[in-house]
Amino acid sequence: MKFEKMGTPSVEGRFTVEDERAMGEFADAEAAKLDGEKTGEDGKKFKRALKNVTIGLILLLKSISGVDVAEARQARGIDLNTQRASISMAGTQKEAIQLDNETVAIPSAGDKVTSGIKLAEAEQVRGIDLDTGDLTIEADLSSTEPQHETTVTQSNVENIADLNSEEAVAETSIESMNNQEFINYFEKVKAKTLYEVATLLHINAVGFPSVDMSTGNIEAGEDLKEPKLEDFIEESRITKSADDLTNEDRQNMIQNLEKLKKVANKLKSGISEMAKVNQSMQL
Amino acid sequence: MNTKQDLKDIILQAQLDNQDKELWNKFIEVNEEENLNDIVELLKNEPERLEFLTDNLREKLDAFLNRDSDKLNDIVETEIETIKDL
Repeated sequence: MKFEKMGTPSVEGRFTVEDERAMGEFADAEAAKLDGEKTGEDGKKFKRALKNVTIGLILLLKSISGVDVAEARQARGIDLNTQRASISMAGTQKEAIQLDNETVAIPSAGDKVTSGIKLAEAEQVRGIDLDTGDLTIEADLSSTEPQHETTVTQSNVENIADLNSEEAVAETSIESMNNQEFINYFEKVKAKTLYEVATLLHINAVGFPSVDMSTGNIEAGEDLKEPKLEDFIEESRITKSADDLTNEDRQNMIQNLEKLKKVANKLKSGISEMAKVNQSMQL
Repeated sequence: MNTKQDLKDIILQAQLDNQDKELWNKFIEVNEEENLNDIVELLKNEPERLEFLTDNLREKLDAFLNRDSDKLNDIVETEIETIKDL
């Protein structure tokens, strides 16, 4: 297991968003390694306790470092005029993408978010209701006009933070969930992951490394088309009731969730690489 | 059941130095009850595990603060060695 993604402490000694992500990745890697060891009941209890020590410690560090999600502000901006990407933190949570003079700000409760701007062949995804898990995809490649408008609900904003810790906790007790609890867990994690994917894809459309840095021209490239989001959504649709759900179904559902998470992680990596390229250009 | 209070009681009565007790106290304060259930259950049934969990907590904290990847890998290896025969 490698864990080499954390940066150096900032001037204030605070953790950065990257640090937070790296700590989360460590927690996932640790959990995977522990779960990979076959043990008896005592071992299982011990594993759960160790995983919760990590999860709890990350919460503790976030609370004392000032990166508490409730108070954190994560502003990400990619200015296509200057080709500069910026990520900063403080205040309230906000993400912004500047396209020439157009700024798309996400996500304040009640805000109308417009998306669906054609950028080469990039697919535009927006509009996930975390209450229902419904996802709307708009991809009219013939138009350069904004096509889709949706309202960001307060639950979209708040539930991401809640669901991240809820998901981490729930993962430790999947085996003991009954089918209905498992379905509820599955739907929540799916909705959260889809929301993240949707947000990332939106950023991805302007920020993926396939942007020609010398001209600012955007080349969609294979990477943008690679995640077949519709396929994952179709695969992860629940077709059985809690009464009919078998262990095999549950395993398949978990595998589909993992696929979705991989897509999200792939996009995160791409955006992170883009930020690095832009930062290096500013030096 | 008051999981937070249960864990606080366990820590308070344990043979730990004040620094470790303070660390556990902060840990308990910021965590929700459901995060603490498994830890409390383990410590109630196997109180001798507290020393290991305390070392584990402190070492993970130091490794995160120092961005020490090697240390984190060592911690997980120690965890694996410890649970192997359980």
